[in-house]
Amino acid sequence: MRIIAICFLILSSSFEVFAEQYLQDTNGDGEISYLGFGDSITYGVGDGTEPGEYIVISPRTDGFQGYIPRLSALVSIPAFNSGRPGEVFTSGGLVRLPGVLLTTPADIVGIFEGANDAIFRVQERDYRIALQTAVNMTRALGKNALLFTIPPPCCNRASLALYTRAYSSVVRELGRINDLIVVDLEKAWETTCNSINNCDLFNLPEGLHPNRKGYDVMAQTVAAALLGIDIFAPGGARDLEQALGLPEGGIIVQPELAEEQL
Amino acid sequence: MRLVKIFTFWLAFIFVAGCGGGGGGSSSGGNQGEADYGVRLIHASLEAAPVDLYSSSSREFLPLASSAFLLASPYIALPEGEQVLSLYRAKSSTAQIFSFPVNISKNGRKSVLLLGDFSDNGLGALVFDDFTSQVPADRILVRIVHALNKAGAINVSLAGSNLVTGLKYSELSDYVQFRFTEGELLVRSSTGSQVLYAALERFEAGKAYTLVLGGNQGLFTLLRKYKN
Repeated sequence: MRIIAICFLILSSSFEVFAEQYLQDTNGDGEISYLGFGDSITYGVGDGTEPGEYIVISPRTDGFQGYIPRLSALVSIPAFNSGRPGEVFTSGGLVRLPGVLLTTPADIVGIFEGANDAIFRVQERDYRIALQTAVNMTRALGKNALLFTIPPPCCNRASLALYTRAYSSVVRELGRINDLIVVDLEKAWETTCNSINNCDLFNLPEGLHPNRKGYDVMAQTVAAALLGIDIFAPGGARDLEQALGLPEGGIIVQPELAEEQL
Repeated sequence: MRLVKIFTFWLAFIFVAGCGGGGGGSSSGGNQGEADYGVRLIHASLEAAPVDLYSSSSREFLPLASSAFLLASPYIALPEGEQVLSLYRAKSSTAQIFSFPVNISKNGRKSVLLLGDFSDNGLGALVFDDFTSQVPADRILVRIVHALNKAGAINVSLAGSNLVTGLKYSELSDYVQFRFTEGELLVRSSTGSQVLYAALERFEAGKAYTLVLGGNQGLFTLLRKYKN
């Protein structure tokens, strides 16, 4: 039923062409599958905790949590986790990526890196070159690349936000230049956090790794992007609920407020 | 070894500098005036964003062709005579990478190839003529461009037969004629036995090919073949 709903949505959506480009069996193995490539947030560190819990160091978890299993359940496609906690994209992640690309059966590769680069104050220029290189490698091997902006860290990690916001700008720009879908998690945090400076989607006061609610927001934002739904538009959440066969209120990502509402 | 015209303007900083702009086609399509002759664009820089090609002979400021990494545009017909071709970062009317004069001849074919990186080599472009004559029906013609960053000179063989030795970075080999249409393409470092690329490649008899070896050595190496 959910697959039927997704197919209907893709055929009827104004974003249909873009979405259809992504939801393709590019390697001809008979199924569409997804791989999340990234650091600890892709791995699922911090999942399982609830808003309001006091967490200084997020639990590592077992590698089977986070946004990826949620995404797989939402859109009914196999999804693989290639997250590596602590990975710096511009030095470690970029080197790791070719081997992952050559061995994964995934048709869609979500590239979500940068939080650890911010810790090491990697310059925006170097992040840009690394991300474009990653996109080129992914596409040259026949896979669709999906890019992620970075939720703005807060609280104990608030100092990283200066860098992650710069990286997120790069992600949006390269998404536009390369005709790629961008999963705008920075915007999802801005629309959905109770307070951007003390966001209830993060483990707090740690302020870097999402909690259970944060990973729900991540998965829903990725699902919307893959299906070509503007989840930040008025009615976007409802469109996603209908596409996924979810009850009203099942999508918790909030729309972007119009200027007159601000 | 044929000398190719190399334009290296070391304007990589422009390429990575953020700036907006409008216009532009898709990464490999959306081209104007596809033809059997003219100019095509090949992107062989692992680190570079997609690029658009413009010509001074165009009446409007619209890209003639677009290309992303290891993709080639179709040939685009251009008016005969002297004109200036320019490469811009895709979807930007301000982020020019470089421009260069070319002479377009009737029924000629040229390739503009983007190569390089943002550290050792800078970004550059090669402009070379493609084969336009008849290839014997039982033969293939093959040449190769060395666009593998951070790699020294290379030796290349096809099915055990030599294609080129000592080909340096940013150089283009001559065409070599082969009687067979498939075999192992082997790329080795000229200074050692290190294999940089090896794969079984198939070709269509009666055709001429340009092979492009791209990537960054030690990170990602890939070869694509393009019919001329």
